[in-house]
Amino acid sequence: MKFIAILFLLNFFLTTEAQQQFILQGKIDFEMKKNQHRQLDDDGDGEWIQQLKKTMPKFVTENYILLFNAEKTVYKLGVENTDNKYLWGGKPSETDNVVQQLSNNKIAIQRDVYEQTFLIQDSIRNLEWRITDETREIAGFECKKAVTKICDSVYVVAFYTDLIPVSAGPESFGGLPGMILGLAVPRLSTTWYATKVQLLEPTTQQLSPTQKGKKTDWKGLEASMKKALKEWGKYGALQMWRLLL
Amino acid sequence: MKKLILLCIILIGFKQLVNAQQAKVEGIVIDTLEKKKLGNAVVALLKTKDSVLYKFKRSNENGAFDLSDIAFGKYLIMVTYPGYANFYDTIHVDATNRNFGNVTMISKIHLLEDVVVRQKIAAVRMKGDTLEMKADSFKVSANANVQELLKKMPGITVNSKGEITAQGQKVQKVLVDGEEFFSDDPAVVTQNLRADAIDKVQVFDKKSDQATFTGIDDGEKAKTINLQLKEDKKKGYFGKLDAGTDFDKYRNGKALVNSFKNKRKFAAYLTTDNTRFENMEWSERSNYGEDLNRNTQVNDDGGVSMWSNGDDFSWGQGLPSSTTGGLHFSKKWDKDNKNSINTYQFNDLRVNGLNTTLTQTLLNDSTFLLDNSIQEFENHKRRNRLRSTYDWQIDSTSSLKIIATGSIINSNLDNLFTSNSNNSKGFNINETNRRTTNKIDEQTLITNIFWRKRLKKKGRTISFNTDINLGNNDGNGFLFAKNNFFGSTPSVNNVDQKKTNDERTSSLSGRLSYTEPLSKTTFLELNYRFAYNKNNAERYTLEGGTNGVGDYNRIIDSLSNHFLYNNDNNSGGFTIRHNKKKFNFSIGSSLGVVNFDLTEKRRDTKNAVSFTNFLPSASFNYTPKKQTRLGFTYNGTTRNPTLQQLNPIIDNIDPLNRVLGNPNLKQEFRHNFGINFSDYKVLKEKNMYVSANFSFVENAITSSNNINQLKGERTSQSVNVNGNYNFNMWANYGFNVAPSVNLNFQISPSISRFKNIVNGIENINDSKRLGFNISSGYWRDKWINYWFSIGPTFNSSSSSINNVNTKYWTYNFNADVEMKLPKKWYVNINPNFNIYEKTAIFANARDIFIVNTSIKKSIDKAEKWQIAFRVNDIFNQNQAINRNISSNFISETTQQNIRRFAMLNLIYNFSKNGKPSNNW
Repeated sequence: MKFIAILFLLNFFLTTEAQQQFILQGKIDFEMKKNQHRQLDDDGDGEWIQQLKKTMPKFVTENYILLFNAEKTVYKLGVENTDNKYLWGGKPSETDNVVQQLSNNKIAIQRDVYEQTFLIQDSIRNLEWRITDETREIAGFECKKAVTKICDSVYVVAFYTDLIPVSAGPESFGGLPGMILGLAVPRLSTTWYATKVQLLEPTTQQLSPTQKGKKTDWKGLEASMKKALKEWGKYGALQMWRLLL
Repeated sequence: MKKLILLCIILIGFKQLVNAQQAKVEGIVIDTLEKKKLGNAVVALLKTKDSVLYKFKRSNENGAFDLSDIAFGKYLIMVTYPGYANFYDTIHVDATNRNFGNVTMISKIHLLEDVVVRQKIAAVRMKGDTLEMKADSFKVSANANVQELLKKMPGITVNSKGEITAQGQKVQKVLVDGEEFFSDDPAVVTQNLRADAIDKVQVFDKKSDQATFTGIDDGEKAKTINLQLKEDKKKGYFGKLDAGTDFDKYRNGKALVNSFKNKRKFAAYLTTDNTRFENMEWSERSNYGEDLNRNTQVNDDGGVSMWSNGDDFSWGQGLPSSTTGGLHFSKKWDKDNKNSINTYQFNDLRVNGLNTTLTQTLLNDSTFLLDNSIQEFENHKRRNRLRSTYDWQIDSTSSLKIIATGSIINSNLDNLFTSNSNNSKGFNINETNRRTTNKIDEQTLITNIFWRKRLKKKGRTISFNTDINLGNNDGNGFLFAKNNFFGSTPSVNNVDQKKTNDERTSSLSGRLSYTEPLSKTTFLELNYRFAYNKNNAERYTLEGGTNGVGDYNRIIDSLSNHFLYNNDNNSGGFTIRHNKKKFNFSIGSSLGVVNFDLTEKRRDTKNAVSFTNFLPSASFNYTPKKQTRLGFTYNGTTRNPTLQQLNPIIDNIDPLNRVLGNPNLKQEFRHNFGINFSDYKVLKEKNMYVSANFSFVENAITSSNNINQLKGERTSQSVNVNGNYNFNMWANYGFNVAPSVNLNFQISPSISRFKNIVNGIENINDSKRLGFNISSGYWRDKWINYWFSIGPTFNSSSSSINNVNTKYWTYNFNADVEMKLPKKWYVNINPNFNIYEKTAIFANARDIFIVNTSIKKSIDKAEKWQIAFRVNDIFNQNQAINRNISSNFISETTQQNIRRFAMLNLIYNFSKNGKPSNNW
């Protein structure tokens, strides 16, 4: 296999070759960044909130990778960030992964939800993306902004690129005319941005991680989360949105 | 050379499928200039009303695409290709209108130049132009949100959907302090932020990120509003007035206010109450100042522990009457890096009480003594306390915190004590009547300095924590006693003495600690501790006048002394921690020497001892799953004999209990083993927790009592014994029986062995306790919430000295029911039942049923005014009972408490721009 790192500088004006090079397979590194202090903002200015803010870093970042080809994508945690100090069990699970089978519109997610490891098998979520005029450059790619909502009220902002004609992205997101390289969920104070795109051919093995867990689907997961977290108020809602990404 | 590229999309016919209502859109995407067909172009249909993506497809290598099964309706067709301008058009898909025709587009670069030219004209007006408006200059109502503020600003309009238009253009972004992802929906931001939190509103055109990147203005600008928040989001006040009476002897009153401006906070309170010791609620204490008794600790892992160590002024038994006042001022500055907190507190507390105690003393020859005692007290204490905290975040790696607390306490204590002892045959062997009074003036100053620095290498830290304490205590009191001894040689002992006590203490202690990472997972902590204590105590006992006219000028030498007592303690230690994903362990030890030095100046005697302290510790934690944890701990601690135990100060306050010294007393060493297991299932709503501790003591310091059966006098001396141990366990299993209704089962056994010496014979006291508990709660935002707990406990104790077995059950029931009824009625019922089974010695079964209840109603719409009516202890049975069966003494103490009363309160809550925080 050849690993060819490509540097993309989008220069529209010097393009002499009319045909663009599209990336049909490869590996994307994502950096997830979460503002932990936001969770505490509504809890007042008490002594312990102040101390907690001093003790816990404002931001935690994680490295995720997305391996993809035209048919299939695998999203999982990359190298663990040992510098992180997490507020209230915010540590991500190393065994979690998301497999999107684009050819038949199926998704399989292995996800640790408290004591239970779930295997969510369902169709890829059909989200109502609102396309906007706004663009932004991420990892050298020109991306278009699209907005959707999950769980009735939680806004999700995505930036996708035409240059990767694979309708997928971080977590379970996708369904846009190109690869999502940027994702932001304001209510969770969390963003995902691609930091590097490598052109390479993922092996069949890499694209078929072993997945296990209690089988369920989106509806089942949502129902069990709602049941368990309904008494947890604001914190419960945040947990539920995070686990339903 | 730049080439102009023409992107043409030819849409070849819209075919309507045979089954009506659905159509097909076909076409070819080509670059007419290059004469190339563009593959992989995105062709998307968006719904015109909200731009929601309906369907998309990529063109094939020949540039051809077809979108089928399109429902009839209006669409926006969007065709994009990297490096080319986006193509948009509206199409109407239906059976009749399906001819879209060919479209010729201008290339992106062409389009750009066009726009740039047009923008240049506008740029003169807009370039670098940010319109800034000061929020305070626009008058809005008190609780207005940002939307209302924007409506008042010139050039800005807000429609019913919350969409904002500025300078004629729709605002696409609302930033908060320049940050974009506060929320993506402008309406959400503007509706949720309060207008009074805003300092400035800035309106400008934000260039697209692409334009920023290329440096070429592509004309794509988004009208943007930035809301600059005020440094101080807050300026206002809140408070509470609460007054209640039973129209007889009980009353309470509270006035609380907190006003804040910028980063300054000023709070004051005044309360008076004769129904409770502490009349401020937990949340009130932090909202209206600083809770000087509360400790907050945040661990490195984000765990928060908070505890309040109450003092004489916040809890106790008896009938209290208290007045408290407080002033609080705090300020933050230098970007919150400096924080100063200052609190003054005043307490005045009077407590009257009556305690009765029944004690059975078991002796070796199957006899016992039975003591009955009654203690009446009338105490009055007053405290003035001032605390200042200065917290300085010096830089990102180091911080300094200084806390100084000074207090002045004046107490007047008056105690009346009567007791009599009977032997096992029922004969009265002695009788005591004693009154002690004491007037104490006490001043203390406690200073704590804590400095911490993180060094460059990750995990390398250094910290220093020191305490400097000064104290002064002057006591003046009288002892009047009449001790009668009956039996074969009756005698009477009358005491009339004045006692003075003057004590000055000073201490300095510190801890220096350094952490070094040995590897990514292993850390070494080194620490050094020191402590120096100085104590200068003068006690004098003065004989009263012979005729009962007290002149108190003759010093009784045997009961007077002047001690200079110093001790110093130095120790060093280490801990090694090893953290792995599923387990971690630590092992450590510290070793030190403590020297005691006692000089009696009146007799010119000296006494010095020194001990070596050895404190090993180890722990191991295993986390097989996220919510499952198993841990083991061990630690060994030394306990040194006190100087009182080695060489006691002779005191004659209680002539029936004398203490002798034991200069041969050895240091005791305690081994503690702990194991705990927890398993918490969130989804299955189950939890299990087990913790068990076992400790045994080598050379345990215990007492040897010699009891004179004829007079009832006791002489005790500290001695070392082996074989004392203690085991206790606590296990809980809880689950949900119905949605939001949890049920918990608890079992808590404990076994302990305590040895002491009675009249020269070793007495082994084995105590067993087995507690059961069932609790359940329902806590949701519904009209009713409840919680209850019910539990029987079996208590048993046996003494080897005369084979006496004491066994009894106690039952406890506790509940709390809260109801929110229509029309803002709140009802609270709080029963608490305690049943103590009678035994041979505790002949009366003690059943105490206490029920407290309250009804509250808001009388205005804003819930500012409330009327509350409460009945305390409906059945008029309140008293505190304390049984102790752990050695050869078996005792039961009953303490008098406040009983039934009914009280009517009127409460007024006021506020402006703020409210008390519920989150402590």
